[in-house]
Amino acid sequence: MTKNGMGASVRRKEDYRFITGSGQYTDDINRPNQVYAYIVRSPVAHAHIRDLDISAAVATPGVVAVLTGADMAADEVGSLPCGWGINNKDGSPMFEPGHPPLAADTVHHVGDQIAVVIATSRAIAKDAAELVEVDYDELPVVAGLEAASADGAALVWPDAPGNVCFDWEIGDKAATDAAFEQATRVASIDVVNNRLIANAMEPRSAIGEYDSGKDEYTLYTTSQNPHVIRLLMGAFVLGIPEHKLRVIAPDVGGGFGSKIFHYAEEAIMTWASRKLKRPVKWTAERSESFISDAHGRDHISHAELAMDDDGMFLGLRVSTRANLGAYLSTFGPSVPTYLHATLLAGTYKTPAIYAEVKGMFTNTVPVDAYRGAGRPEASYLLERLVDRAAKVAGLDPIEIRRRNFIKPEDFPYQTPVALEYDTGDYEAAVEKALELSDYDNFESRKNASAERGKLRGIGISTYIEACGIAPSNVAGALGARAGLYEAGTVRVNPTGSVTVLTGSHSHGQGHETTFAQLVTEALGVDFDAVEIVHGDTGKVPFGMGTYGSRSAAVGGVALVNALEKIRTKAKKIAAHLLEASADDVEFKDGQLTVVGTDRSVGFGDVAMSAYVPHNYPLDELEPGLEETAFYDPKNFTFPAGCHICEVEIDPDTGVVQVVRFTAADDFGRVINPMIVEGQVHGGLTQGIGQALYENCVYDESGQLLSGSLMDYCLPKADNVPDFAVTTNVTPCTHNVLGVKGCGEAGAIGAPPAVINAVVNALAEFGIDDMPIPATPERVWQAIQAAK
Amino acid sequence: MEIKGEYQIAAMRGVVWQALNDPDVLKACIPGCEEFERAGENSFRAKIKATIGPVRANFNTILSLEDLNPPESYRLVGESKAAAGFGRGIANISLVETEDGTLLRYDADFKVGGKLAQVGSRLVVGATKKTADDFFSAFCTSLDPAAYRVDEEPEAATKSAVPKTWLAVAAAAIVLLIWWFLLG
Amino acid sequence: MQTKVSCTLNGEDVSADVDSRTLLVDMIREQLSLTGTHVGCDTSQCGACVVHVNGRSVKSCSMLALQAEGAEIITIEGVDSNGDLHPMQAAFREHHGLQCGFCTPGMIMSALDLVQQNPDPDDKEIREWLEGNLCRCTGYQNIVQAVKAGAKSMRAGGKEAE
Repeated sequence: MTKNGMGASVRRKEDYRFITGSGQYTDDINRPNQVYAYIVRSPVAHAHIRDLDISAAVATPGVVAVLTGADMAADEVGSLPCGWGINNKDGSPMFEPGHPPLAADTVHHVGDQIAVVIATSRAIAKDAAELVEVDYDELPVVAGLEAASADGAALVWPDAPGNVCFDWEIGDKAATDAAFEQATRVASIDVVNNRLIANAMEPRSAIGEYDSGKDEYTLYTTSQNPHVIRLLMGAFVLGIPEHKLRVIAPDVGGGFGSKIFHYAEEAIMTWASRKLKRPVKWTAERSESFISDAHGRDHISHAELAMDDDGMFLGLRVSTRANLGAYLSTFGPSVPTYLHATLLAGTYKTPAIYAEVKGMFTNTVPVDAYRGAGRPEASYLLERLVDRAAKVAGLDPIEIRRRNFIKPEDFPYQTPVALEYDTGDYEAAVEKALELSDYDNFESRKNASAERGKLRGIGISTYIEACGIAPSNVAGALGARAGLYEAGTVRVNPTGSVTVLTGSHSHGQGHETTFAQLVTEALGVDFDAVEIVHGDTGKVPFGMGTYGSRSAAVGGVALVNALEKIRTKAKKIAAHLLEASADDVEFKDGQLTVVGTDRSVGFGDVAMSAYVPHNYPLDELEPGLEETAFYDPKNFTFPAGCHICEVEIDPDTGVVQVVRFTAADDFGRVINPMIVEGQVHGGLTQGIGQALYENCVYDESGQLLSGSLMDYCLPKADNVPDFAVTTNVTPCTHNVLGVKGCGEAGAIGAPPAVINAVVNALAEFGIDDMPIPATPERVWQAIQAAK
Repeated sequence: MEIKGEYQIAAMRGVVWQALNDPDVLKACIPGCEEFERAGENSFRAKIKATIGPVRANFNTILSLEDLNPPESYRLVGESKAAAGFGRGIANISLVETEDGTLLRYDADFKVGGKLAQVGSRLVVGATKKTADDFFSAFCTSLDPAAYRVDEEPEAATKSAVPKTWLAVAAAAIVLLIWWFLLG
Repeated sequence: MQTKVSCTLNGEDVSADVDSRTLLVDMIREQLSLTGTHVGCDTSQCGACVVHVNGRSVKSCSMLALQAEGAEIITIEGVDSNGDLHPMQAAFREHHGLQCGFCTPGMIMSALDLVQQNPDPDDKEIREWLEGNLCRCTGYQNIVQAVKAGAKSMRAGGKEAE
């Protein structure tokens, strides 16, 4: 292993600027002559705009402009596009409503954009926004899945009967029905997967800037994928060709999915900057984030598992309703379908699976990917159901899982729901987790808790996720409207330092470090001589960005492929310099050596020779040393693992505390263990947040009640324990790095482990279900009801 | 959200009824009321600047009186709007003659929307109760310095240092009060 | 109406013209152009804006700029000495106590105040102290390790807490 190469816990390059306060987040950037935007948003969930009076706002000193949907329509600004189409069971396409960046005549959720007030200061813009008078003709509201699916429910969109966006299915219905006919035991469960709000600590922000001399636009934005924003906004919304539009996502303060999507504000600022010929900046206040960032999860599902007498799974039937919100966010429809139902096989060899998913409109903020995106919903449903199946079959929760696992010899394994798992060893992960969690001594810990008046419970989950999204042809066949490859460029500078341009974006994941490790590993150059550039369409050739734990598995592999091209060319140059055949040149630790001799040349000399080609094979090779690779993965990657949670419950208050948490994860090969552990810690904490603390609540009129950090409970430092984490490596078989991805695992495996532990702790009361999140009130009520 | 209250006022019912319909009396009892005018036979328009600590909001309020049954009862329907959100509600007000004068009873059902709901709906009830209490005590004492509240409470809601976000909510609650006195 | 506020910021005398309603954090970020102090919420929950005012940690979104008249303010930019990292900063890097980095300045400023009051905090004390600082990335474990290590390094003769 190279000192700072693959597998080393190298300290992060990016940290210096963050710990000294010199990071550059979007709101830290100010452009000359900049003005400030404040967005007027709807306070009602559904209404026609009868009248919009901006005159008082326009007349306010310091106000530069007040722009509305009518101005956008006049400029023929397009609708915010949806990037994934889903077909109904009958093959017809889903219903796609228009989504103007500023509402034209109807608002569809609290927070919907109505107008933008632009002024010389933030305070003036905000004050003037209060003077915009909107007269609403209110319409009936459906604020949740139950209301939207009720008989005679009001319609969010008149052309979407029953509020159904799509009614989709996957799997073999007949085979699954047949499995249930054979079954001697059936377990079933109804679960709600709670609606969540990502709440990255940095609120979204955007600065639009227009250069009238060159007719060029620049958008600074808090995005996980600037190239995708350039594509969507340029091509579909504003009609700006790529070469005239530069999108920069500078330091971004966390994303967790919520910064994947193309948001209205990005288009509004870019458009307004041209109208005003001045840079226009907008930064969300947190309470604005709550009603304008896409939300996550929000499913209601019924599931049934057919078994034989031995507890072997025969068939799984799942019916899910998924809340999509009022409009379709960029990837909204893909989340409850191809990112959810395709994962319902989990780690088990269930021969027949059938799932149907109804995507539904409601008068709420659009719902899209949030850390895990569909996979946490699948994992939660399945792992709660398997725990229940264990009870039905009279088996230990671990034993029933062991019996039904896909075994190492079964790979590659084709599931009944489209995916082909390449590799894994689920039993081994369970063994590691059991050992690390000291599972065998749980009873003594339970007794010790009981002596202190506490109820102790233990819960297990195993999970699988499909990451490294995705083979473009597969994704395209499933409805994706974009490719999903990644690009990487390696530019070896004349003095031997290396600049990498990657389409993956880092907003906490540490790519500037891990990608530099890959360069050090491949070229032997000093770690400090490597610079990773990302987040700027003006510098990076192309990229699809960071989500779905794809950076290492797709962006990292693209980089490694570009590095391989550099190595090949370097060998040719060295062969010339050393008067040998390229086949005889070995490239190791930064030295290029003729095998079996002491003749060698350093990589730095090769680089210099490429740029000062005085002694150079110019008739065979171009000068320079820069290579680009595009990598389109052959398959998804399939990280998997086993999580074990122990909780203590205070029966007098219902407060649940996670006291121990163990994770044994298989992420394939690991580039930087320190960073991977950090990703797991963060994912687990968000998973525990979903299980115990976080819940997005609307009232029946579509008002968001959990609309601030006072009411939406993010996990705090004393809400979570120290985690015990380990890895169990089965390298991915279809990428050269053998990596699978680690960013979402914690958020996928943790919620079912926590709730299974809570239910286990309450078993003595005969309780076998607990809604998520298991808040103190719910737990206390359940205990009282059982008493 | 529902709130209710009762006040004993040492004044004749007819006098109380008249005061409840006197824009000048009402305006004087509403904190921050800048304009209060009749918009129709049974409706009023008011502008209230609610300022509490660092939070200031201008509420435009429209009130209408329904089911008028002078001098015994009526229903007040109101809506207040500001950039911070909106409140709307219905208040039933009745005046009962007693030995000592008049018993004023109100029960109101209201809801809030926009930022008010988002940031503090669960706090609005407490804050509104306090503001309602403040208004009615001002109103009642303007007729009878010895007027007093008949039904118990109010406890917790009134005291303590109020965080800044609560203040916005309290400001909104003031607006809601308007409905009640508009009754007059 | 604008009023002039004068104070010291990271040891330098500074002044700014502010509205009576301007928050301290906005004066620091907008008028005085130090953007290491962040704004993560509008209800004083997140702690991304923690600075030191007269030696104590303060959420600079919960204080008016006018209240800083005559005060000594230290922000994250004033913690290191001539480019040498403060031991607490170094500990955050060494223990991977940050990911996206947005909450980090507030975390470090808050941790420094903790160590000033309690030079040898245990895990529980650190977790309770940091209740007012939200981090969405790290799950806190490495932050706790970093604060412990930073405190140890400071006890061993590292730079005093600001």
